[in-house]
Amino acid sequence: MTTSQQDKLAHPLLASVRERLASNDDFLALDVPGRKDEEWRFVRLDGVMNANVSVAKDVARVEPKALIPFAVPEAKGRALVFVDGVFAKDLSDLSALGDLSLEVTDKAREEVGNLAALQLDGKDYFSALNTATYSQRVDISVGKDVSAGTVHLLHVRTGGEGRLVVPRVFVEVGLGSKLTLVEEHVSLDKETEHVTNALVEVEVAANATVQHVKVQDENLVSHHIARTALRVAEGANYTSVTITFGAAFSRHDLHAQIEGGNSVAGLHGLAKISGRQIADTHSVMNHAHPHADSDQLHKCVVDDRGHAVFNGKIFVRQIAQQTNAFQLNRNLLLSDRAKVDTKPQLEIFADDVKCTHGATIGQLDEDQLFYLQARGIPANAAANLLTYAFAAEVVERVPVLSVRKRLAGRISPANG
Amino acid sequence: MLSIKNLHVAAENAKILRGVDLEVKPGEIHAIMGLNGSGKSTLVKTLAGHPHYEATAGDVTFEGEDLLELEPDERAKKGLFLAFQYPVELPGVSNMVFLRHALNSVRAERGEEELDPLEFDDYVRECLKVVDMDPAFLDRSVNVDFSGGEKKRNEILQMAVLQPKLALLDETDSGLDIDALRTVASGVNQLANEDNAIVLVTHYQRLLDHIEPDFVHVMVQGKLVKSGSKELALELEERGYDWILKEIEEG
Repeated sequence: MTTSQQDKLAHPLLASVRERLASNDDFLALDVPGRKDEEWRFVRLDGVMNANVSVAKDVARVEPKALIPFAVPEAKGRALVFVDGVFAKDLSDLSALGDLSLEVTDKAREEVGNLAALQLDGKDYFSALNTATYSQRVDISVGKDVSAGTVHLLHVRTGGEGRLVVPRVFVEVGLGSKLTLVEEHVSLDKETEHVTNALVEVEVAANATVQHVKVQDENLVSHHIARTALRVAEGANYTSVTITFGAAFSRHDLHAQIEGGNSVAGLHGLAKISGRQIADTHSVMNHAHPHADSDQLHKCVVDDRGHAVFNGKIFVRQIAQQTNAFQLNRNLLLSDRAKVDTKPQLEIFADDVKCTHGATIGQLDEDQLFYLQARGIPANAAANLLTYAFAAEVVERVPVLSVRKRLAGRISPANG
Repeated sequence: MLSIKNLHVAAENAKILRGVDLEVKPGEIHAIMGLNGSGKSTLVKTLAGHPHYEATAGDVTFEGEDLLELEPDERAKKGLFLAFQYPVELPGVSNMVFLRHALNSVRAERGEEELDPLEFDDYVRECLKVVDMDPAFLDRSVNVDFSGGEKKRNEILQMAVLQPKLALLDETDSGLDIDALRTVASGVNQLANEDNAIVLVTHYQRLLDHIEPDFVHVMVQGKLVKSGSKELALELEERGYDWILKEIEEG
C-alpha cells in the first residue's frame, strides 16, 4: 500500500473498517470530497471524517417499549428494526409478509449496485464506502400485480459507543405492483455521536407504484449521509417524501432515472433545522424518456444558525420530448443568522418540454403576523402557526396516516 | 368605551393624523367619511396596533385602559376588532383552525373555558348563518382563493365568532356588489347591539343605506373636521367635499 493510500485510510471514521478497505482498489482510488468539489462546496466533512465511531457487531440491548413511539400500525407484520445498524430479529415483526419477499442478507446479488453505479459512474465516495463496508442488506422484492402494503425499516441508534451505521437497501417492485416504504432513522439517546452512511436503490417496474417516506430524526451530534437511487419504467409512479429534523450534519442525495413514458417521479422534502445544524439536499431528476412527469417541492425552515442547502438538477435528454417537470424550493428563515444556499439547475436538450422551477427565501410575513395578532393570537403563537402551515404542506404529502400524524405533531405549534 | 384625544400618528416619518378627537359609547354606530388619503384607514389601523403606524402625541383609552400601550393581540382580547380593508391570505392555515385559535385566545382573556373542536364546530355553524356562508369555507385556507366578496364576508364571520365590544370596519363595502353588500350589512346589523359599538370607515354613502349610523364624521387632512347625523352623509354624497374644505378655510 502506498503512503497516499495509507493516508486515505487514516481518518478516524474508517478505523473499524480499515482492513476491509485496504484491499478495495475502487475505494482507494477515491478522495474525500472537498469544498473544491462542486457537489460539496457548501459543506465541510471534517466532522464526519474525524468521528470516533466503529461498526457494531452485535445487537445492543433495547427495551421494546422504547420503540413504541415509532410504531407504524400500517406496517404490522412487515417491520424491520436495526439497532446501531445491526438487524434486531427479536424486535422485528415479519409475521404478515404475504406475497412480499423481505430478507436481510449478506449474499451477493447481481442487480445490487447497478443502479447507483450507473448514475454515478462509480465515483461517489460515500456510495463506494457503503458498498465496501455494509454487512447486512435488506432486499425487498414484490412480484407482479401484488399490493404489498407498507413496510417499515426502523433504524435506531443507542447510547454508549459511537457507531458507523451502514444501511443498504435494495427494492424491486414488479409489474403493476404497489409498495409503501417507510424508512426511519432515530436516536434513543441525545449525546452519542454516530455516523450513518446509507444507500437505498429502488427499481420501479412498469405500471408499479412506490411511495417512499424517509424520516431522519437523529440526535443533534450525529452525521447522516444518504443516497436514494431510483429508476422508473413505463407508466410507473414513484413518490418520496423526505423529512429531515435531526443530525448535526445531514446530506441526502436523490437520483431519479426516468426511463419510461406516462411515468411520474415526485421527490418532496422538508428540512426543519435549528441550532448549528446543516441539512444538505441534492437531487437529480434525469428525464431519459419522452412523455414523463416529474414533481418536486422542497421546503426548508431554518432557525438560529442553521444552514440549509438545496441543489436540484433536472436533466431533460434530447429524446425526452413532452417532458413535464416542476420544481419548487421554498425557504423560511426564522433568524437573522440562519442561512440557505439554493441552486436549481436545469439542463434541457429537448425542445418540446414544459419545465418550471423556482426558489424563494423569506422570513415570516409581517402582514400575516399582524392579521393573526389582530385576532387575539400573541406574536409568538402567530409565528409558530405560520411556521407550522409552511412546513405542513410537505408533511401532508406523507401517505401513511400514522406517520403523517406523528410528523404533524412534531412540527405543531405546541412543540415549538 | 373609546376615547380618542388629540391623536397624532406618523408612518415612516410622514405625519398622517394631526389631532383626532372621538368619543364612542356602547350602542353607537359611527361612520367616518373622507377622501382618499385623508387618514381614515390610518386611524383604525393605529387603533388595532398596526406596527407601521406610530402615535406621536395624544391619548386613546379603551374601556378605561391606555390602548396604545397594548400589543395588537391584547387589544383584540380586550374586545377590539378590525375588519381589514385588504384581508390577508394565510396559506396552509385553515379557517377552522384560525377561528378556533382566535376565539380561544379571546375566551381565555375573558376567563371562559376553551372550546374543544366539537363545541367550536357547533358554535361556528351558528355564526356562519350571520353572513350566509357555506361551512365548506371552514376547511379552506384563510382567504386563499376567496373572491373579494368572500373575503369581506369572512371578516364579518370573524366578528361574529369573536363578539367584539368595538368593531372597526375599514372600507368593508369596497369590492362588494349589491348582493354582497346587503349580506355583509345584514351581518353587521345582526351583530350590533346596545353593549357594543361600531366605527365604520367608508368613501361612499351606499353602505350607510344599509347600516344606519348615529353619527357621521368627516376626515380631512388627518383631522375630524365636521360631525353630524346621518344626513351629513347624504349631503356629502350630493355635494362632495369641496364645501367642507371651504368652510374650514373660512374658519
